[in-house]
Amino acid sequence: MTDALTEDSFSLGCCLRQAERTACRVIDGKAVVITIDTNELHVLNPVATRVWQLSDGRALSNVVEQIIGEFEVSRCQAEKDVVQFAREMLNLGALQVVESDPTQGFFLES
Amino acid sequence: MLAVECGLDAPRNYGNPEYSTGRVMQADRPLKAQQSGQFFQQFVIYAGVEFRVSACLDIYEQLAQLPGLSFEREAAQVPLAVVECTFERAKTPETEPEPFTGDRTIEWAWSGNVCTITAPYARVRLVKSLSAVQPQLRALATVHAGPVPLAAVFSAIASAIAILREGAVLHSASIEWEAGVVAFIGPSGAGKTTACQHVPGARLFSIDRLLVAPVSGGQWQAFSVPGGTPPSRPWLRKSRVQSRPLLAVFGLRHAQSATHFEPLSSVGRVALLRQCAFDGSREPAGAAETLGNLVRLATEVPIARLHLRRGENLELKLREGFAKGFRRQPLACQSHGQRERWS
Repeated sequence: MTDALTEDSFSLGCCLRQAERTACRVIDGKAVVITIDTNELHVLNPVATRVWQLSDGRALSNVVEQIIGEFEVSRCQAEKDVVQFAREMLNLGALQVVESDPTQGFFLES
Repeated sequence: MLAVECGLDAPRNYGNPEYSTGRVMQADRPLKAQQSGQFFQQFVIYAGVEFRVSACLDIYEQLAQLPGLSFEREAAQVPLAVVECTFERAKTPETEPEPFTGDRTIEWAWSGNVCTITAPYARVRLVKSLSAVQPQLRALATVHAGPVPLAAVFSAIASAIAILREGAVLHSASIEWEAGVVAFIGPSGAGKTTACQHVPGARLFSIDRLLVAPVSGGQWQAFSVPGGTPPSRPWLRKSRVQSRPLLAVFGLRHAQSATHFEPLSSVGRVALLRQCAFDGSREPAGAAETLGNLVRLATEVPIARLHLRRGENLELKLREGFAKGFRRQPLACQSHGQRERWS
């Protein structure tokens, strides 16, 4: 799970999804995310909001592809920012890692 | 333990359906009821909710001592809800009473039509049933033996109902002003009660907690919750009503210069409300519902940051602000389909 995730193991191959114990509303293009257990409120900018919305269990590499298609950004920059954002949200408990099963196409919670 | 059963699912308590509408204590009724084991029935209004209470003697006596009760509905008053309540003592104690830590320990969780409320010394099961005429609310609760903080129980029920009514519970001091309510929100020490005292023509509406819920036409109604620490030098008269239309909500900051209002972004308004809203739900669905209610509040009621300099007459500033037009600020969801610049 999130706690077991180390700097080295975290990569674009990781599959992330929104943690269950969160609540979110998108207001004027910005996501307001509440992490229930810490009772904290986080406001995401539009790009981070898009990454948040795309975090449905797909791999980060897929998220990067989508972001590149929607925003004027280089792949290098997008990869760097998406990974950094995902790591921050993991630390906050807002995202969680899931393991994908490539043969079935299902996502399994790790 | 003491069982507090509230509602229509307690038919044995409704042998005498006539609710008293006078003062709680009547000299001959308590003793009579004690001997016969009957329940006392009383109509009271607390935090804008009409409670039709049936209670055993000791609870009934505590009810008489509860400040902030009203026994008659004001003609223009819009009740938050009507709840059938029955209080009774459980036969055997179950657990040792936990120390009373204040009514902020209230938690609730709606699951379908049933809400489980945990308050100090009390556990209330609130049930919503839909009749052909109107929704009915009833509850089943268990509270510890001995003196019960009835205010916390009533407050907890009212808070859960406010969420059910798509409203919110705000940590707020508020004033009754110009036939409506102006709410000041902020953390403890922000100067909420002090701000109230800066409006000389107003009446103190609530000190610590305020329930707000939408009514018709995009309007919101404010319901005062009794309690809170009154100001040491109360300059304002206390409001005599429990509900009024909500005019505006202001987040407080101390001002170094002149008193002024600062407009907030849409997200800023929601974040401000969220910081000062009680969220008794610990489940994602409940938290999302509360957040959705706050978004609606931020859309339908003027909300701004108030930088207040002590000693300045806030009433003049309020008049000026409303004349210029504190107005609703619709929130919009942005489309993500178009190509945007990286930011």
